Amino acid sequence: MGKAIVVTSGKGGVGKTTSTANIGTALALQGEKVCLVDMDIGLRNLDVILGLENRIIYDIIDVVEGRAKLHQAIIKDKRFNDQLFLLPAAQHADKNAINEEQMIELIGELKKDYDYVLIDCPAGIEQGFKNSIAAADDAILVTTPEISAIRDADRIIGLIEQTPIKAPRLIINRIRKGMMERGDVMDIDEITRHLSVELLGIIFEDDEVVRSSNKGNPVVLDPDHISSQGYRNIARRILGDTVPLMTLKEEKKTIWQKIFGKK
Amino acid sequence: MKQAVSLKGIKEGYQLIIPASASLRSVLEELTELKTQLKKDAHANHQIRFFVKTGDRRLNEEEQKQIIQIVEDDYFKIDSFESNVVSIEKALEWHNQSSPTLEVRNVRSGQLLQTEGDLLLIGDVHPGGTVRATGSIFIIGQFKGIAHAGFAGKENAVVVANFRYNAQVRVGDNVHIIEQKESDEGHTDESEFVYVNDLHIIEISPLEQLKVIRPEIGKYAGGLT
Repeated sequence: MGKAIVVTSGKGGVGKTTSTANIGTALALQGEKVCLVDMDIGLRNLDVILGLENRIIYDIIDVVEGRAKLHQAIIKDKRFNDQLFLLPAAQHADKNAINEEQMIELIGELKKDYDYVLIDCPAGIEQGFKNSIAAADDAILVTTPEISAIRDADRIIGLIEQTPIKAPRLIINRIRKGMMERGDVMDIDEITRHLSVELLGIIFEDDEVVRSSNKGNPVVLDPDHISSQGYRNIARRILGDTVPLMTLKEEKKTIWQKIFGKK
Repeated sequence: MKQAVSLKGIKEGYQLIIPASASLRSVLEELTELKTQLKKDAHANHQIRFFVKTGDRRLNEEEQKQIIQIVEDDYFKIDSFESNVVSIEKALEWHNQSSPTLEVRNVRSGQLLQTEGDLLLIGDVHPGGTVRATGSIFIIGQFKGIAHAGFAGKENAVVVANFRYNAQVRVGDNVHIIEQKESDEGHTDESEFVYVNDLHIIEISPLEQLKVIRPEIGKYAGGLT
């Protein structure tokens, strides 16, 4: 029996979908069998980030309404050897096309076959959010160091606390080292203390995330990038490893490193 | 048959003692009998007051009315019904009014924590979070949201907290906006309290003043008042 984890944030644009794609891919790289479920019905884009857009034949609403079998709708990511799968959202329906009971049944089905089921939650706290958390065993909360995202995250934690899900774990995304060091934004400790939830990981701002997402390759596939390292650490922590947090300090090159071009 | 209801003369009139073990029907019968007896004996031309004591029994309104109907007339008057017991509902109401509710949690954005009586919150009130009590509110933790004391209209309620962040305090119908204190200048880490003064204006005072301004806080009697 697998585990269903919902990736949520409240506010839009903080990196839920990107995080879902990358954590899912990182878990698959660790040898887990993962299914990603896009719940952003009407505004799907998890498939785009994974580069699977052209493979969609059936979607989650087709499954719920009985037009397709579950295994017909699930898309296999060919880059992995039977490790990563996607259940795409519908584009021609809205968030009310599915309800909590159907979700619980659907995710229950998926948990039988997969080690991890990652649910990409839509922004907001309406039906789409309710559906997404209804079937989850665990929650990952994505926020950025911006006050608006943190405020929404706080609201989401409050809502999740009212469900049987245990306290969500936090990812602080898009951290700009310089700004945080100068104190322009809340630092990692402040955010974690304010929200009083467990910190799952931090992701530094990295142009490569957008660049690789645009090509349909999650950034985590390339281990050289700082954001990729962040997502890999998060995946390992989900699996129960103890991985130290990446440091915030900007490394200053010594004169010798500059001369010899070392990193 | 042994009489269940007994009559006892006191200064103010008569105590009518109805033991809890007696069935109501026989009590009513006895009362009717007693009434005719008393009527015969009574020579007084002034009103006689009765105080009904029901021991460990609580009479509901219907039952009280029945007894009143039997006993009362031009000269006989029932002054009060007294019993040694109260309903659980009433007891809880007193309990909630007189003992503060202790909550150990954070009140997050969008959440509402509401209590009867006083509230002691150990934890933070986040921006967008609301705590509300019919009595006073005491916050141990960072207070950045909204605290509404005496929301059912109790104007002598207070809010005790550390007012150093942006927040809003309401007492009864009065609202007070608290601006975040800039830098360390002029701010203390100490708690203060907000209350409504005699002119119905909200004021903040240092905690030492609490005992002077609201001496009744912390001295709740509770119970039958």
